[in-house]
Amino acid sequence: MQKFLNLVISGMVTGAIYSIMASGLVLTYQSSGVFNFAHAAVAFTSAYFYFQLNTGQSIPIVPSLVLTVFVFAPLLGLALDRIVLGRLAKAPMYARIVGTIGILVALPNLVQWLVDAVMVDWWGLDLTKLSEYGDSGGPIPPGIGPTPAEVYRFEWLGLDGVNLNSNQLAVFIVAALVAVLLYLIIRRTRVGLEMRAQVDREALASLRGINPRRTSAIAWMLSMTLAGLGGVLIAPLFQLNDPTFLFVVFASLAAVALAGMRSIPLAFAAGLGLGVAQNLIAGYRRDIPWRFFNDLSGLESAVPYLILLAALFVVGRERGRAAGSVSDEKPAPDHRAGLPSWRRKLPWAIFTVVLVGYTLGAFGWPNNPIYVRSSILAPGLALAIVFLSFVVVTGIGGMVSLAQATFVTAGGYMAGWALQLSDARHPPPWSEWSFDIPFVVHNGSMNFFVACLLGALAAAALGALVAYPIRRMGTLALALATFALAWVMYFIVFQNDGVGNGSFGYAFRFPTLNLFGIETLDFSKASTLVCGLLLVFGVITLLIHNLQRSPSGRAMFAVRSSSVAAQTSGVSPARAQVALFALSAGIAGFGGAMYGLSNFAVTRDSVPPITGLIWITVVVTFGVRRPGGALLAGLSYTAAPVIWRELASFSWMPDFLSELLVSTYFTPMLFGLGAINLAKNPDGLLAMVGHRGLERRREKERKARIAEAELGLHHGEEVVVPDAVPEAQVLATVGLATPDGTAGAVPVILLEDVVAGYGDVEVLHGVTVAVERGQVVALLGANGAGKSTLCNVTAGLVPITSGTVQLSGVDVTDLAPHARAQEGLLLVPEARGIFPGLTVEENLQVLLRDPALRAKAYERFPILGERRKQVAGLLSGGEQQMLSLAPALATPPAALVADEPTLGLAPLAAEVVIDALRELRGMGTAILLVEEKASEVMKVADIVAFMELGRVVWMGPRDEADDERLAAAYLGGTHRGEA
Amino acid sequence: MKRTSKMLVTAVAAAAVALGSLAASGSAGAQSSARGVTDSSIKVSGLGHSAFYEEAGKAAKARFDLANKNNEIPGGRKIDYIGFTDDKANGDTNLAETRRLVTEEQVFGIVPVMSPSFQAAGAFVNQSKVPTLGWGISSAFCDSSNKYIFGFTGCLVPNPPTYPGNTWGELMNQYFKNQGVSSGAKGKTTAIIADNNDSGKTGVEVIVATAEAVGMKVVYAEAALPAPPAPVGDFAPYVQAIMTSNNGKQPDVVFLVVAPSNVYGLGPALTQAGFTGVDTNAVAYAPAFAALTKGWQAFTQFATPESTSSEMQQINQTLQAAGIQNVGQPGLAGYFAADMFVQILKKVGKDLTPEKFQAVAAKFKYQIENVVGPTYYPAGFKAGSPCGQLSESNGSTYKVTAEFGCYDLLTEKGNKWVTVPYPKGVK
Repeated sequence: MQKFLNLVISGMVTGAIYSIMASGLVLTYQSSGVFNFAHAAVAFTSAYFYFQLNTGQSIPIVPSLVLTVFVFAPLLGLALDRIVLGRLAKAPMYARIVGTIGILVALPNLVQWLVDAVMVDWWGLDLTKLSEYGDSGGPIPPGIGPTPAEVYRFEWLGLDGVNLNSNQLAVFIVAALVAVLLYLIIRRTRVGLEMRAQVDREALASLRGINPRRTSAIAWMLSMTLAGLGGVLIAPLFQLNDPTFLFVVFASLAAVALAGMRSIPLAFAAGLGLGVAQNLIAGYRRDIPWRFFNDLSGLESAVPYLILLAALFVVGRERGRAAGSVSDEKPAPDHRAGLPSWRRKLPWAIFTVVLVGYTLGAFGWPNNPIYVRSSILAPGLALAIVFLSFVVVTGIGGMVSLAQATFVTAGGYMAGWALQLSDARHPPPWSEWSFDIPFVVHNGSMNFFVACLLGALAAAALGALVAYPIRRMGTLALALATFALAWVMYFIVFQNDGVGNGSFGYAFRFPTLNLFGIETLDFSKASTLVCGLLLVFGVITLLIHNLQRSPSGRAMFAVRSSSVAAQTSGVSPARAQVALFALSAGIAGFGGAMYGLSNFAVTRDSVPPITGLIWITVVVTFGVRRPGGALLAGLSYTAAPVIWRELASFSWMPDFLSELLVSTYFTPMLFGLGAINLAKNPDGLLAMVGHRGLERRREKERKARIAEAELGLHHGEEVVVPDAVPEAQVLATVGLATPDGTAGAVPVILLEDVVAGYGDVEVLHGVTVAVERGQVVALLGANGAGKSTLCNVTAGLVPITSGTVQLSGVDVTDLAPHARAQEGLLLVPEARGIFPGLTVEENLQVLLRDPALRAKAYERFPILGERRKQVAGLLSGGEQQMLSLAPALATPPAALVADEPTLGLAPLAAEVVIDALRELRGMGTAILLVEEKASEVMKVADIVAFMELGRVVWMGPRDEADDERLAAAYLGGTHRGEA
Repeated sequence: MKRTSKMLVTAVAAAAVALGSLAASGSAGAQSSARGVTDSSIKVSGLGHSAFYEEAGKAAKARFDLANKNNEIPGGRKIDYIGFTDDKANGDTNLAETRRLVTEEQVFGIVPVMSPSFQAAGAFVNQSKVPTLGWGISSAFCDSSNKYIFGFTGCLVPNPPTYPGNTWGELMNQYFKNQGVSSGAKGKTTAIIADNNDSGKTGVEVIVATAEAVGMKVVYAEAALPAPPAPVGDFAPYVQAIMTSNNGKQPDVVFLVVAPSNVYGLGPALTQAGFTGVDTNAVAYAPAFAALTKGWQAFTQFATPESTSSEMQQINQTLQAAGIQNVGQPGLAGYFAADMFVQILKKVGKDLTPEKFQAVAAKFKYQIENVVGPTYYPAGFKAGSPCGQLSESNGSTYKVTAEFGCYDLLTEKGNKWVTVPYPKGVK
C-alpha cells in the first residue's frame, strides 16, 4: 500500500505537467481549429528564455519567471497567431497540421540560431550557448521554489517514504491554480463566452459582434502562456534540451485524446491519470508473472503512445456533420492549368537530362564530382524516392502520415535482413541462405532487387495493417494515430534484438548486376548508382501518374472532395484510404532499402520518428502534390548543408554571414519556415514560381466566362434581361426622395449598385435597395435570384466586387461582419441565429450583457425563461427562433436583416415570429425581410421588392404588388414589354 | 497516352545512358596510395560533434603542434591538421563529411574521431584505407572487419561484449580500502541499475560479474530505466525499488550504468529519498555539474587532470600552453588519440603508406604510464582496455579517490563470467 501511494502521489507530479500541456492544446484546438503540434516548441523556447534570463543574466527567479510566462510567452503566442494562423485558419486540415509541424521544427532552431549564431557569434553578446553543456544533455535551470530545492517528507500525513522536492510541489500547486483559473476564465468571463461561442458557430459569432481574430488571438495567447508555464515547470525537473521537451509534451497528447480533444477539465484529469498510470506500470511491471512483458524493452516510454492509440480509436471517428458541406476540400488551383502537356513536361525533361549528364561527367563543376555524386546525388535521390511516398499519401490522399519514417525503417530492415550480409555480430556463415531459387537466391545470397521488393512488400503490409483499424478517422486523428504508432514501433518493436539486430542494424553493400555471367553494372560506382536511383525514381513516378488517372485515384479525389457524395456514388472511402496508405508505405519501404544502399546501413536511429516530421516540412516546402516536388526536396535536403558551406567559404563572404549559414540550426529552420508558409499550397515553392502566369491567364478568361455562366441558366434561351430599378426610384418608393430626386433623410440600410458573387460566378449584378427607419422591405423572388446572397452581402459574409453598403449613412462596405454588427446590424440567418452548444442564458448573454435586458427578454418570451439552463440545440424550431429574436426585442437594433425567418416553422410559431417583426418595426428598426411564403410576407411588409437574376426588377408599396406580378416573380423569366 | 510515354522515354533514356556509363565513368574511385602524404607533410582532420567535442580538436592540435615543434615525425614531415570537422551528431552528416574529407580534402588520416555517430562511415574508411583514430565510443571501432579504425582505449561498445573489463569492481575495492575499510568492497551490498536497452541489459550482467568478482553482494540488478531519447517522467518507482532492495533497507552501493540524463535524474532522486550509500556512475566527472554530482564516485577510463602523476602534469602543461585551461574528458581523449597517432607514425618510419600504418597499428601497444592504457591491438578490436580511475567532487572541484590502474578482462564460460588476462585472454 505504501508503495502504491508513493507511486500515485509522485506520478501526479508528472501528471500535473501533462495536464497543463494538454489543457493548452485543447484550448487552441477548440478555439481556432488548429491543433498545435508546436506546443512543445513553445514550451522549450520559453524555458530557454527563462534560462537565459536567470542563469545567463543572473536575473532573480521571480522576475525571470514573470517576464517569461506573462510577457514573453503571450507575445510569442500573439506573434504566432498573427503570422501563422492567419494563413492556416481557413486551410484544409492537412495543411493546418503540416503548418504547425513547421513551427515545431522551425521555432527551437530559430531561437538557438538567433542566440548562437547571431547574438553570440556575430554581435558578441554574452549569452550562454546550450552546446557548452557538452554531451551531458543540457543545463538544469532552477525551479520556482527555493534553490537548491528543499525536500519535503510527509511522515506526518502517514505517508512514510513519500518525498517531494519544492520544484515538484510547485508543479502541483501551479497546476491546481491553472485548473481553477482556466475554469473561471472560460465559464465565467466575457472572453470565455466569446471563445465558446466562436467554437460553436464561427460565422454566427462574427455576426453577433465577436471579432474572430481577436478571440482567436486571446485563446492563443492564453494557450501559449500555459505552454510557457509548463516549460518553466519542466525545466528543473529534466534537462534543458529540445528533444526532452518534445517528449514530455508528446506524452501529453494521450491526455488530449482521452479528453476527446474538446473538454479542458477532462484533459486535466486525464493528464493526472496518465502520470499515475506511467508510474504504476513502471513500479509493478516486474511483479507481473509474464516473462515477455517483464523483459519488453522500452515499454514505459511507449505507454503514453499506447494510451493515445487506444483513446483515438474511441474518439477519433469522424463525428462531425457528414452531410451539409458542399465541399470538404476544394483543390488548390493548379498553376499549370491551361498549359499544354509538352509545356508542363519540358522543365522536368531538361532537368533530368542535365542531372544525368552531370552524373556521367559531361561537365565538371563543382570541383569534386565523385563527392557530389556519392554524398549529395545518391542519398538525395534515395530520399526523393522516400518523399514520393508523401506525394501519394498527402498529395493524392490528403492524409497526413507521421509514420513514414517507420515504414522506411521497416522496409530497410526487411531488405537488409533478406540480404543477410555479415557484420561483426553475424560473421559468415550466418549470412547465407541455404536454398536456391532461380533469379532470387543464388549461392546463398539473395538478388538485391528482390530483397528491396521484399522490403517494399513488408512495409506495405505494415501500412495496410496500420491503416485498416484507423481508416474511419478524420485527418487529425489519423495523423495522431500514425504518430503514436511510429513511437510504439520505435520504442518497442525496433528496439527488439531480433527485429533490429541490436545497435548494428542491417548492413548494405553495393550490388553488381550480372547479365549472363558478365559483370554489367557495378553500383559501387557513384555514377551508376545515381543513374540507377534515377531510374527507380522514374518508374515509381510513372506508377503514381497512372494511379492518379486510374479509377482508384479518381476515387480518392472524390473522397477528399466530399466523402458523403463519394459514398452515395458507390465509392468506399475506407477502402480507397487503406489502399493508398499501403501503397505509400510500400514506396517508403522501398525507399528505405535505397536509403540503406546509399548510406551503408539502416539502424534504429537512422530514421527516428522525429526525422519523419522534419521530412514533411521539406517535402511541403517544395510541393507535396507532384513527384517533381519530391525530387527537388530530396536533393535539397542533402545539398543544402553543402551549399551553405560552399557559400560560407567564399572569400568575399563576411564572417558573420558565414557563421549564420553553417550553423547547425540554419537548415532545419529554413525548412520549418518553408512548411509554415507553404502548407496551404500543395505545390509549395513550385507554385510561387508559376503563380503570376496563372493570374494573368485567369484574368483573360474571366470576362468571357461570366456571361456564359449566366446564359447557361436559361439553357440558351434568348432572354431579355430586365433593367434594374434605378436608384432614384428606389429611394422614392421607400419614401426618402426629395423633389430633386436625391436622398433626403439618410436610409438606415442602403445598398448602392452592389455587384457580388462567389468565385467566378457573379450573382448580384448591380442591386440597389434602401430601407428606412421603422419600415419593412420584403424581398421576393425565385430560387437563385440572389436573395440570400443579398442578405449575406449586407451582413458582410460575402465580399463585394463593386458598389457600397451603408448603415445609417456610414459606409460599411469594407467592414468585417463583427464590425457591422457593432454598427447596429443584426442578421438573423437562414438556419436560426443561435449557438446550439451554449445554454439559453448564455445565448442571450452574447448580445445582452446587462442582466436587466435579459430579464426583459425573458418577460417577452416566458418559455425561454423556463428553459434558461437548457442547451439551445435542444429547443424546438420555434423556441430557437424566439431565442434569436429575443435580443432584438430587448434592445432594438437599428437594422435587422431576416433571411427566411419562418422557414420550417409550424404556423403558430410562424405567427409569433411575424408578431415579433411587427413589434420591432414599431420600435423603429429598419427591417429587410426575405421570405419564401408570400402570404406571410404580405402581412407585415410595407414595401415589396422583386428580384430576378441578380437585379431588383420591381419595387413598390405592398398594395401595388398584385397576384400577377407575384406569379411572374416566382416563376421567373419573361418581362417582355414591361415598363 | 502521351504523358506516360514521355516519362517512359525519359526513364528508358536514363537506363540506356546508365548502361553506357561503364565506359564513361572510367576509374571513378582510383586514388593514389599516398593520399594525404607528401615529402613534407601528413594531412589529417578531426571529426565529431563540434558542440560537444571541440575541445578534443584543440587538444589534438596541441599534441600535433608539439610533435611538429620537436620534430617527432620521421622523415622530417609535419602534421598538417586542417581542423575539427563537425558532424552535428548526425549519422548522415558524419558519413557525408567523412566522404568529403577523403575524396575532396584528400586526408591521410582522420584524427581524432569523437562521435557516437561514426558508424556507417566506418565501412567507408575501411574501403578507402583511411587510418582513423579516436575514442572508441561508436560501434565502428568494434567491427572486426574494419581494419583501419583504432581507439586509444580500444573498442568500448562491443556488441555483444565478449570481453568487458573487470575494472569497476576493482576500483570500488580500492576506494573502500582508501576509505579505511580493510576488507575493501567484500561483503558490501550493491544495487545495479541500467537503461532498458540491449547495452543496458548486457551492462547489468557485466557489472554484476565485476562486482561479484571482488566479493560484493548484489541485491538488485535490473536494466529498468527507460533509455534515452525518452526522458523518465518520474524516478519514484526505481528509487523505491532500490531503496528497499536490501531486505527492505537501502544497499551500500548503487551502480548507475545509465545515460547522463538518467544519472542526473536518478542520482538526486535517490539522495532526496534519503540514500546515504555510495553512488557510482560513469558520468559524474563533469565539471559543469560539479555541484550536482557532489559526493558521487565518478568512473573514468583514464586519469583526470587532478591526478598527481608526473605524466599527467606534463600533459596539463602542454595543454595549458596551448590555451586549454581546465581540460575535461573530451579534451584528454583528443589528446590521447593524437598522441597514439604520433607514436604509431614514429614506429612506421619514413616510408609511410596507409597499408604500412595499418600493419603497425594492428599490433601496437599504446600507453602513457599512469594516465592511459596500455591498450593492445589487435585485442583492441574486440575489447576496451580494462583501466580506470575514480574521482569525487566536493561541490566545486574533483579529487582522485581510487588511483588509475589496469586490471583483467571478464569473459563468459558457460553461464558464468570468469576473469582472463588482458590482452592474452582475447581470442
